[in-house]
Amino acid sequence: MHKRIVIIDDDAAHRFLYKHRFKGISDVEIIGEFESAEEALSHIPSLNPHLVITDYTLPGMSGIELAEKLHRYPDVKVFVVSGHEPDFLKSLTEAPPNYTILPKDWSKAVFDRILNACN
Amino acid sequence: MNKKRIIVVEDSEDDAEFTKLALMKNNFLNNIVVTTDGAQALELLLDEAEITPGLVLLDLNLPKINGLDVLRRVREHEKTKLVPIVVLSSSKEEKDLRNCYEAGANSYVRKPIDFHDYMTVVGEIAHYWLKTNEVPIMRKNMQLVM
Repeated sequence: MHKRIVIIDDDAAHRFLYKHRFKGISDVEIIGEFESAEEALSHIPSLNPHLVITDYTLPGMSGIELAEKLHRYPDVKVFVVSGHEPDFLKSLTEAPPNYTILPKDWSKAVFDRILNACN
Repeated sequence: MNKKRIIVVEDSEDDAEFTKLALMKNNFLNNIVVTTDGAQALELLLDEAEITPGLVLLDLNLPKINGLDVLRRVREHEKTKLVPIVVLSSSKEEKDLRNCYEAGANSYVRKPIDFHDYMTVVGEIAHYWLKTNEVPIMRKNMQLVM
């Protein structure tokens, strides 16, 4: 099944890296890329993605706040990618997370987790 | 015109060869300068007027001055505060990931990853920073983050 991905990162270098990592992978398409959570939130309902990959540190709303707002779309899988420790990020929220926290380390393990979610 | 260089800071000969091979396969062979310890890297980056760094690929575990201290000192220096720095580390410590981003690393790539992936990531990073001429952005809560 064709999987649609939205990427949110205010860092153009990292958006570039995501696009190239997913390029050439069959049945995966980047359908939107945004620099802020607010911008992404206004487009996600119409884009109807399967996966959202967001940086934690964003101007304005954080990636976790975005993930919590996306709770209303239970079919959307959300990955919050960050340079912080996962336990620190989990401590920021009291709600049961509807998202997965991954280290921003460009490792194969991280991309395997994301791609497995596409299957 | 002074060509922008990719400065590889790596004390392991094998890892340095691995990184050079990844860069060679992405047609960056003529841009590479390898340094093998933190003190040598700082001398080259801060004091060598004829070297224009376009990208620093920095290991963390280095002799003399460790990679995190190199990163912090490069970020404090007027000449190099906006040079893209990508940490290439085999550390499994999450605090290293956080410390590097907080100190101003533009990206953090965790090793080991298989060679194909390593070649892809290193090549894409080099293409981005040397071909686009983007300048890293400043954030107020972490000195420099990209």
